[in-house]
Amino acid sequence: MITPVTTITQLKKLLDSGALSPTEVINHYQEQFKKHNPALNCAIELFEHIEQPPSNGPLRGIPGLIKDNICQKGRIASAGSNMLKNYHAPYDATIVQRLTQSGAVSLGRANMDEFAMGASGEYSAFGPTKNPWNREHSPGGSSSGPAAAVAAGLVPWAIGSETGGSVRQPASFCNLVGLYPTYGTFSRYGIIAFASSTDQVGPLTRTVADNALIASIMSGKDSHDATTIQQDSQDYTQFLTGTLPENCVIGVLEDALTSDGVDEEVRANFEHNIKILEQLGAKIKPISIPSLKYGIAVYFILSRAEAASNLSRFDGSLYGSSNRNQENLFNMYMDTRHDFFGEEVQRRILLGNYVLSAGHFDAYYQKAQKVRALIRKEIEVACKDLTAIISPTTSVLPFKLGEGISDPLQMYMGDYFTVPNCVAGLPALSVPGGFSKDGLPIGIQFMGGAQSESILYQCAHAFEQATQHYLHTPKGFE
Amino acid sequence: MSKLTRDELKKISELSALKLNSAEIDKFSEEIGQILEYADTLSEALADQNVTITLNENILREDAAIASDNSKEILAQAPEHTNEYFVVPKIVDQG
Repeated sequence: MITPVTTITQLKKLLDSGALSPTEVINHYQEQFKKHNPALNCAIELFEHIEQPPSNGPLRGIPGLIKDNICQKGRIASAGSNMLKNYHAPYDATIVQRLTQSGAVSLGRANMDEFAMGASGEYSAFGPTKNPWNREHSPGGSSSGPAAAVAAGLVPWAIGSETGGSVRQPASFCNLVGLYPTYGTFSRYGIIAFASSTDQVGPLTRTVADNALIASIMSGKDSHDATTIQQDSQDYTQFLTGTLPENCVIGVLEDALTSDGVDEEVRANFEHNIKILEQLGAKIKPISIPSLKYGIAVYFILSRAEAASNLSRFDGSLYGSSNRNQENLFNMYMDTRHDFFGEEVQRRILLGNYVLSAGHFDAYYQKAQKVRALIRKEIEVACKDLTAIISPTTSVLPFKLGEGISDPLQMYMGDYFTVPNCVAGLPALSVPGGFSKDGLPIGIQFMGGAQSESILYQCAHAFEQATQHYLHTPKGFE
Repeated sequence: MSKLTRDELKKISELSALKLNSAEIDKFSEEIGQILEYADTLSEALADQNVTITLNENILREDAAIASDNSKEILAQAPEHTNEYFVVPKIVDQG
């Protein structure tokens, strides 16, 4: 009764009608993990004892997987790092509480790039995750485990996190729906921090309707996180009519069509998808947002600076791993951090402290803050006359594991379309856009102004219903 | 020529409390140097612009005490601890 393409909506029907019990549903997905996790490495840990939460909420009995930088009380929260490999979360993240209260069940801890720093899953201290669509390829990162698990049909939902594309790029690589919301939509309480001014969790699901449901449940202000938008939880499922909004005008980023950095197959797929949106009634308008091209440089500087500050707490004294062979405190800090942080994390901390240091602060950090304000202004101005802005989610096809890493700069360029809206704190939704000639997923992204999630969901839903890419299953997972 | 000298990187590694060996210092200065060159493009972005950074709005709450005592759970996470203290190597040399 349950297949890899079964959605949350369909599961709810099966549960409500009594055709399946919550225990049967959980057992099914646990079996799928037993079968496929050894080959894919999506989950760092699968919980043995699953308690059914006492609730009749909208997600009752629906199991999922949670990225390991999100605190689940009593469980290890490693953030994909040796630094926290034995750290037990003393409390639930707010978003975990909200999911549990709605009846959802977490089956385990999803693999990820260490401290969410990476775009391939290869920086995990627990081994890389494989893309179910082709196991020689990366599922994307840093939410590598969450994406691969949903794509393989091991769970119908997973929660990832984004700082600069880490939910949407894996969504694009795995034929899934992934959201980066308006900053402040979801509470960051209990999320192990990377760059606090852009960090947001995001749902990964097969369909737009599923994604909107999970997003609605997680949304709303939180007294534990003063950066949450001061409003109650939202209902993003209201406008999933299957049609585009009236008088729909969609902006197409010119860069997507002309830039050298976009893979030819990705470009061709994007051009094809533009035609589909036109057939659905959208008026297409080419647009240019000049400061978008500085998005990655802004992100490099601001995210590394914030990460250097946030990760200074990991020093072997209060929690986490510790090198105790040292006779004085400072040496304990130095050795602990060298021994237990991976290379990429160390690289980012060094860069972050460099741009924050005296003599460099104005040249890098202050400039980046100004360009950040510019990017946000330009996107918002563009969005005033548009329903949404579209682009491919990422300029590259899912790359082979081992290919990206040797050149750190190359790895970063794949984030061209996903990063600018993160530094601006503005929402964007990645949706399955089709496949390459070798069967690798390609994503299309809908971006909008502040709090435009409902409109983005509506547009994406109409596109999804017309294309139905979510019905495809990777070979070997049927 | 790298934007970042070995000495500069060594200094930053000390500020970052990261102990690096000689090969690591070489490698990181090269890699980070490349990334910094890329970051120089930001000057272009601001060439004709006068941008002010708008500050965020402060969210306040009532100054009311809430019960919060999970000190046992938190201490249990420490690499070394007594009933009430985190234990670390000595901070100051005696003489």
